[in-house]
Amino acid sequence: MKPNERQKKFHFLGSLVSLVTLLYLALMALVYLPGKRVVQSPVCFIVVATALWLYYIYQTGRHREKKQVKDITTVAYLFLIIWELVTKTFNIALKVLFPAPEDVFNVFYTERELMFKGIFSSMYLLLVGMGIALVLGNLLGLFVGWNKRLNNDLYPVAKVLSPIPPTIYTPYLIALLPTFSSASIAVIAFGLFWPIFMSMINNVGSMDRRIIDSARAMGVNTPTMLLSVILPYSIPGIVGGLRVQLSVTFMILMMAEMIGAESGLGFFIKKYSDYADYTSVLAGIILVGVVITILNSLLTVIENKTIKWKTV
Amino acid sequence: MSKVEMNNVSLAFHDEDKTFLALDNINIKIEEGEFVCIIGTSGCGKSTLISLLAGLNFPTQGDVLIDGEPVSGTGTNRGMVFQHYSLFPWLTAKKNVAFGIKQTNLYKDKKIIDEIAVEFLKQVGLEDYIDKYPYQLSGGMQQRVAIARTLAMDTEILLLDEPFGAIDPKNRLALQDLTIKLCKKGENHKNRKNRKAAVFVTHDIDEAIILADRIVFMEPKRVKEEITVDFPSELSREEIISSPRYSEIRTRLMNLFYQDVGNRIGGEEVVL
Repeated sequence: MKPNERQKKFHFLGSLVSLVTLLYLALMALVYLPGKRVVQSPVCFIVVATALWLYYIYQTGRHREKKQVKDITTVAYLFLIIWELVTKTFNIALKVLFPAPEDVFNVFYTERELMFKGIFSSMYLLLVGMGIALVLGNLLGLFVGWNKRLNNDLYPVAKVLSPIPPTIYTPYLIALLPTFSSASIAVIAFGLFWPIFMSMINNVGSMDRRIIDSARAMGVNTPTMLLSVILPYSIPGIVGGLRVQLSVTFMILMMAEMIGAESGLGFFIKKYSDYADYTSVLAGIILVGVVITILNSLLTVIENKTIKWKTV
Repeated sequence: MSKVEMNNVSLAFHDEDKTFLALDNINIKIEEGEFVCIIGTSGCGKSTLISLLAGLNFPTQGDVLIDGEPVSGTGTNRGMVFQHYSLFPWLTAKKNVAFGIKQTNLYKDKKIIDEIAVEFLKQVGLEDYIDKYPYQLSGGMQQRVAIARTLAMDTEILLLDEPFGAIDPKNRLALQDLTIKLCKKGENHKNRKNRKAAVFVTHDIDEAIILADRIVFMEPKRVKEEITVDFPSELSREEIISSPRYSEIRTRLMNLFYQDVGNRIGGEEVVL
């Protein structure tokens, strides 16, 4: 055996015999042992806890210095163990407000249809609304930022309109527009438009003069200047801004869905909180967290794939 | 008719209640294929002068004429290289050069444009770096790309604003040789000698003598003196440097710089 391979095997053994594995086994024991509270099928919970453990083994087995993964999984298991102890095992916490983890994760199985439908309808509204705001905000910002007169006229207007929280006019737009989905898209597009528009105007204004002069010296016309010089130079800023805008959009969307939707992630949570079914509410909250995490990792992938340059 | 003419050109910048005169009654003529170096201390208006030629600025008085026509803005008959490598950081070396070629509207086919770009990058010695982004290149390499971009546009006039100002001595010499070969001797075209009129701003005396056919010395705001540099083109750098004419021009320029400094310390303005 080569020393490298031996080391690799050692890693693997090292992550198998570890605190995280011990905590995982402890949690599994608690799930197996009967507790004071009766719970539903623990299958989903076991799947999630095991997936977390496999992820940990996979990550630490490959790179020894994954302290971050180690720390996070340790805290996660401690949290799950405490949760399990106060609910199922000893039944100390109030049952309505603190459901057992087995019950919460079981919702992902029993309500899978409604959840899938919710994800799709929420993603549709989110992507269409964000897309409209991104295209309009960036193109208009580009144009207005470049034209001095339009800039002087419209920037003050944008400054007044952009700080109005979208949640304020959400109920009005829902009442105004014929369907719920058109209203949600309008709320998202309108709420996101202003910050995107403003930041694009600022991008144009703070653009490196040397690059503008260099382009002008080559005799470029205005469309080329805007679309082939300023826009590509601003792309990293636009993609960077997406991360903040994504969480803002989610806030707006959840708010809108809680007011008047028939499906969606926000609707899911609102529906069950109306019935005081906090088991499903917690499952819904976890689902939203998972969806946002996946969208964020997608953004990182897009960022790494599209932006290969740095400023000099 | 000269290729480039500046007749009684003055330029003033207005700043609320103050007026600052940057150029005062400049008269310069540049012939077809002539390489002119503009030399002077910092702040004497060299870069402002070249920005007028580029069409990035306009005179408050007088005319800037190219082929007898007044300059009304930037154009693809002039190519400019700036001191700070003003490449587009989001494009590779090849795409940067191709961007310049596209602006001339000479070629439509993307493939041909790319081929020309690669050819010019080869000429500046960057054949191994065509797909690198500017941040992956050294300062000297970036400046080579900028030169390739300007040459590839095949403009009639080259404007170079202290292009080697921020480059180390070794690379500077190499880039000067490259400038002589490609711009002055015109060996940048496959089929024909392609000598271009060039205006090269510098504050380095030796650089000016090596490159120029004519040196224009500027004191603040004005042209002080013009010196014709008449070395036969077959002379090597060493032969030029060791010739008596070289020391003569060098001494003259040194004296002009000393006078300029003396004048300014005597006056109210000290810019060093």
